[in-house]
Amino acid sequence: MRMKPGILWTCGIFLLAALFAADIMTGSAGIPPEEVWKALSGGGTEDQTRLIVTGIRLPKALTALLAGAAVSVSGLLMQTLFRNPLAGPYVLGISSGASLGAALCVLGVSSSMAIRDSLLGSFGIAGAAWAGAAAVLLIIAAASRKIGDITVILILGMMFGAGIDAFVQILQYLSDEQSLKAYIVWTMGSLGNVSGTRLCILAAAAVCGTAVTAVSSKSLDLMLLGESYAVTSGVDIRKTRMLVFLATVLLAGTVTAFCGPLGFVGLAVPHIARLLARTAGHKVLVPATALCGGILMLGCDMIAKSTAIPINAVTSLCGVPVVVWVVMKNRKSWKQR
Amino acid sequence: MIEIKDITLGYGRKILLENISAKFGKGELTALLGRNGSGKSTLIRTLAGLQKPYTVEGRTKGEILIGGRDIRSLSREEAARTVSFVGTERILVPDLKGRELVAMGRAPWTGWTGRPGAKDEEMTDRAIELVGMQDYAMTDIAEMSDGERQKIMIARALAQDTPVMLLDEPTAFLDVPGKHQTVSILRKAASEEGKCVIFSTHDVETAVRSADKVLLADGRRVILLRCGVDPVMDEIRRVFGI
Repeated sequence: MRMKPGILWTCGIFLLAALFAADIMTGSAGIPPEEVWKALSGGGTEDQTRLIVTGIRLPKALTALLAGAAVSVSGLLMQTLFRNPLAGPYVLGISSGASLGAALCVLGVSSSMAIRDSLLGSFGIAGAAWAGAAAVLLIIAAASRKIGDITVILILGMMFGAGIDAFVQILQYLSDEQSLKAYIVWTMGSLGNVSGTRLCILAAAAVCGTAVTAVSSKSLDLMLLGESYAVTSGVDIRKTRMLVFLATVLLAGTVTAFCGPLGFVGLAVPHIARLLARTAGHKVLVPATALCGGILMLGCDMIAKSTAIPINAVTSLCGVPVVVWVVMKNRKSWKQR
Repeated sequence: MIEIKDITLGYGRKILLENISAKFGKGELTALLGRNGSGKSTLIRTLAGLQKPYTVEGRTKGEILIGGRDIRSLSREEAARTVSFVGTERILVPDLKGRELVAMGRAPWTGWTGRPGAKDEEMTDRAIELVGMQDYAMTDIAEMSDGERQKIMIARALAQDTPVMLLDEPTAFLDVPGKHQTVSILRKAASEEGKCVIFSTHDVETAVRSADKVLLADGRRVILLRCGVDPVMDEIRRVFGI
């Protein structure tokens, strides 16, 4: 039996709020809800508790929420643009492109921690990741226009990713010990290294990218039917594709730059949203995907904290079963194409 | 309604149809017939504005007039309100209901939000009714048969409410009853709705029986024949060599 949309949305928002609160309360030392409230509202509590809550856990929980939502919406955009259920920033090599940009920054230009964490350094890493993501996305999009076969596009994306990873390995080999250590930690993914400035950039990118996506909902719906139908329905294909590129680069690029590659979130979450919302319409899917992405990342962060496993490993472990399910579910339709 | 004046179609260095001219009127059902690769789909796609006529040294020869206006002078919105298109591609979007797909036909008439008004809802329901798919309105299109999905695609084009409907091989992949039903719907769209309907097909018998005109691709030229007036079958036998 299907749940009513209103009940589903209420449950989703409640779950998100509960996980957000739980993420702040849990960690190496548990903090009771009343202490968290005092720390957040400026009430009387220990300085150490206030520091942990406002300086560490709150930014981390906000990062999890924003990163989960952003990378999931970017996955939805890729799946619509390429009309491919297995598309996502990670699979298509867009995260790898962003990683290359970030790697060049982390390993090369700004080896000093102070420079890296400065406003300029934060924008530098984000900008480099955006450029890397945009370059790969443009190549994949150009190839997809020539080729059209979704399987070939996916293989190309994976090959780009592998090629870029190999290049990054060469960079690692050539870099000094301090930079190498910083980079290795970054590749494991971390939601804890997002400072005030970075959090602001991440929030701005997530809000702008999601807003652009939401505004393009009508065109995105029509693009599900293919370019011919979209064009004959009055869609400005070039403009829509440009907006999708911009939003994807902002969303996936920023998250990868600051949190590292978060495997399979972008691919898996849109499918979870579709399963729950039972619609292909982007007016519902965009907020549903953002909500599910936030919930999943907060959950993954809590698992990562309690088990001391890198967040990238947790997201991959959560995402892989969904990918297997998608492949099994789509076997029939792929045969028919 | 549509007038093609001296256009050439092709791609790359290959010319498919050269210096062709034809007229298609309001309320007429026209079938495009020809061998594989003769340029039927290219002509349909060119009339739909999806590709440009063949250019020589960057210049397009001839013109395509729709309602007396050059197709190149129509804005995206005007074109979408004038011509609807049904292609050959199977649409298998998961979780997309039949009615949702038909409602997408209203896109040129709704604002940037795509929110349908009362008229849009009415047109959507009417289009579904015209193709007899009321029972499938809430069915996922990925779960429909090829024939059912084709009817929904035609309903989407009807909901678009355009004076011209272009369909590229709408009877491909369909069984005999499916072909008959699809062509009957197109016949009704032309006769009762007054639309100018052009469809390409390999199904000679259905085309000749149902259409008002047949546009036959004969090498690089086309022959426009009036069914029941001109010796259509003789020409078809000559062109196909049967």
